[in-house]
Amino acid sequence: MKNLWSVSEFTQYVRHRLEGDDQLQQVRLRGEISNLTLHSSGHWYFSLKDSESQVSCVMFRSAQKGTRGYVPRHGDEVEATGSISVYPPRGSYQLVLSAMMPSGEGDLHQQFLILRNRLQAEGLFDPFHKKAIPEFPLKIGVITSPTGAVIRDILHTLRRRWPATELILIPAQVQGKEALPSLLKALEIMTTQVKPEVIIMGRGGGSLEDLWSFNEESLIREVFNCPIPLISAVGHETDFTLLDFVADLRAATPTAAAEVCTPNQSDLYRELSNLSQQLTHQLLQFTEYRRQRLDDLSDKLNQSIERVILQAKHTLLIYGTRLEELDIRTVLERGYSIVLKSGKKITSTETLNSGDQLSIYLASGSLDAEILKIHPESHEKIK
Amino acid sequence: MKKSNKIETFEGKLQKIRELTTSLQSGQLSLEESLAAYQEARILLTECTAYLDTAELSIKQVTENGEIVPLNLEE
Repeated sequence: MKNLWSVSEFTQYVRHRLEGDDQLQQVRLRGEISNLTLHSSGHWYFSLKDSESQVSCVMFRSAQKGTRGYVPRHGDEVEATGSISVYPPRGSYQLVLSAMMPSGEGDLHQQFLILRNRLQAEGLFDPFHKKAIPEFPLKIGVITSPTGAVIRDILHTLRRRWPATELILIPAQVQGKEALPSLLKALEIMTTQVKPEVIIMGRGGGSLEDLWSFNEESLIREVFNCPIPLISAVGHETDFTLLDFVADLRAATPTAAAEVCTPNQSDLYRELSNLSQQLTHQLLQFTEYRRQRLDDLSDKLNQSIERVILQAKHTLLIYGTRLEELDIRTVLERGYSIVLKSGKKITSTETLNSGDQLSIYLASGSLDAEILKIHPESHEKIK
Repeated sequence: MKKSNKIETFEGKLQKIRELTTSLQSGQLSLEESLAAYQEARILLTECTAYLDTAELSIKQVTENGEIVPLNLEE
């Protein structure tokens, strides 16, 4: 017999044993959901059961990203991952879950991870292989369902941003058994016949099973070998497929896919208008600068020629004076003389009176004289 | 030949306008060259704007028989 334990001591011991057991950490369980409570606190409480047993489970709000969007419903078959925990107030044990997904997806998820790791190791996802997405595609190929939202979103985006293009859709099954051959055929027609500048391949969101065709190895390899840049637009922001990894670019939505491979028309209009203004400005500045240079030159030219003219005038003046002097001397030497009265040259008798004093300049020497008589009439004796 | 092909596209024209504007800005061109660059850029600008103005999305699909036909989506 052992010592007598208190209930708490016993419970603590059990808790210690169970929670310390590595076999009971990160357990994977398959079962059906019952007694489900989606509590207002955000935590989920339920039981997982099969035909003979059940176990209490809790999935705390903070762990719920581990369901990749799945929300449990009563009766769902699920695969859950969690660790054991003892709750002393009730003396019960439960699984605290860290991940959960609908049954069957667990296997797919494993397959997904294995394939991803293998293809990654092979280098199929290396950034080195990514082809550049064209900026101004004139032909865009789309592989998707003709009835889904994907093609509509893409058309809408193209109309808004870049209508100067041709969109060619190859309708494809995007779910179910026919999806893989359908996608492969569409891709082949794209690369061999349609030959667009860029391909968008996509579908709307869904479960891992719904999206599975986009994880098939043969498709991933064909996309890897595709000579045309390819954008994946599968699901929504949270869904990832292997196509996303091998694609040259992954777009979170079909709209985003159409946006990354097209320019925005309104940006282009703005750039054209800016360029137009710059051109006008440049030309004006260019001609203005040269006009100024011309003006400067013209000013300089004018100044120079003025200086030359001024100098020439000055020279002329000097020579003119000298010439004048020379002229008078010649006249005097020919026997003429100059008559001055009070320093003024006399050319007529009008201002003279008898008895006035005159100065007479000859070619050589001068003399003072007094007027004896005046003859106002002209004369022709002197010759 | 290849170059003149490229200039036929909107992308090529836009690039050419950018280059012409940059060379005008450099101030390295003669007056004749500048005027020529300006005129060429002006013509391309008009063409580019007209291209955008008249652009209309062409929507087609490949049928089961591999024919390319206009696509009509019931909206």
